[in-house]
Amino acid sequence: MVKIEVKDLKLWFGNKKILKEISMSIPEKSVLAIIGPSGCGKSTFLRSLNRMNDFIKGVKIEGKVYLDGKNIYSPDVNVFELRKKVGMVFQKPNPFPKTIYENIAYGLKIHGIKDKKMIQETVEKSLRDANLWNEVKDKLFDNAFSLSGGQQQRLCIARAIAIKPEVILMDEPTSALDPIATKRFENLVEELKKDYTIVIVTHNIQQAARVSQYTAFLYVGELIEFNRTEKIFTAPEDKRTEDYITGKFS
Amino acid sequence: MLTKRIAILKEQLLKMANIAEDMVKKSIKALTEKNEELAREVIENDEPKVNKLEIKIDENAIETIALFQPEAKDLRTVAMIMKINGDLERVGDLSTNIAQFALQLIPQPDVKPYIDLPRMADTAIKMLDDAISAFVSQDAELAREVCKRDDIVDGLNQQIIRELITFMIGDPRTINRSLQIIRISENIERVADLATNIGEDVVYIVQSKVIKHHAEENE
Repeated sequence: MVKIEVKDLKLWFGNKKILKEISMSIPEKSVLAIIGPSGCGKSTFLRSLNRMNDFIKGVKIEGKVYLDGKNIYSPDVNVFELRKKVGMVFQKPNPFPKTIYENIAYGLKIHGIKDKKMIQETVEKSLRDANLWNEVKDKLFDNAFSLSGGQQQRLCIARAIAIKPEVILMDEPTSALDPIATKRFENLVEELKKDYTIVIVTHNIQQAARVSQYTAFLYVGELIEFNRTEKIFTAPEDKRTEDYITGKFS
Repeated sequence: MLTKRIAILKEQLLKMANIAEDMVKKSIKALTEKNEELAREVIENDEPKVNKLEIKIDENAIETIALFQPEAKDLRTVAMIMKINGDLERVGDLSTNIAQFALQLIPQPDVKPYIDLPRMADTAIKMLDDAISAFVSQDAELAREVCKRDDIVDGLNQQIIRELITFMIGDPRTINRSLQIIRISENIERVADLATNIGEDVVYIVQSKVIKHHAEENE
């Protein structure tokens, strides 16, 4: 089943066209990796999937992005509700300067959940699902900054999944992590895809190969190729894709 | 993730090995028991199965390399699975050859009772079986031992050829049939060669040592 359908998406920053007529269907409960050289529009595309670009001055967006058949750019969409459904994890772990527990509970509270027991249970479940529980269960009330980078990033995932999103967007989530933390993170993504649709922007081509079922290759704002990951990495159809993944340009 | 992929590849390779080994058994049985139906089963049913599986394993192995960049023992395992896969497909081809010769021989009177040929086939099949067991249990010793048995099969092949030459000299009417038996014998000998290759590949996976072409003796 298609979770997100992007139709003819165009985006300008001022006069500069950043995304050029992008169309693709992202299947439900799968991982889509977006790869491409720096400045090709990967992150901008990702941010357009939960309207994070709306904040940027001078941005103009045309085209449609359907989430479960509903265009997220239609005027009647509640952006707050949209971002609840489409969570995001950033390049650098960005926990709140609060306790580990509060980092997760905070999001629940601002979404109107008051029942203490329910919050407690959700905190534990989210930490378990983010493979972090065993490492933090004895120090839930320590400051989140006391965790390692990899743990902080998993805390951000826990925070994102606590409010039960349907889609998780990840913008180079492991670029600040060491190889072991990266591996743990990738294993987590493998598990999360059973319940969530994940779109991940990555500079690391091998990571895209390992974690995703679908890969999209963007080049200067254009979607060059979208296909199943095994196809992209064994027999890409476009020469530019082949050149990029074999490191002929980067 | 990679571990899971390799486990699936191993499972598929075992399935392939089972079919290929069975094909050798069936083709020899078809000859000795004069069972045309069994020979046809090898040619029409089993061979296409092995061919299809070979392509599937190759595709999966290439995908595994492309997606998971295996290193060290994982890399050796995936690379050798691809080689063993090719060798097993050849075992299937050789069995098909044997089944085809069997179909030609079955309607004709026997040149002599089949005694050495089944013995040789049993040895080759056991080699194949042990080579695959060595792969499964990652047993380099068993793999090395399989390689040593290749000489036994070579010896039996020479013996069969010598014996058939005497038949052909004695009665030229047996030439056609004898030549067919010789070709079966040579096909079995090739099965043993392929089992030896698999044994060598297992040693490479487990100990990362190349023992092909008597490499160790030349060191």
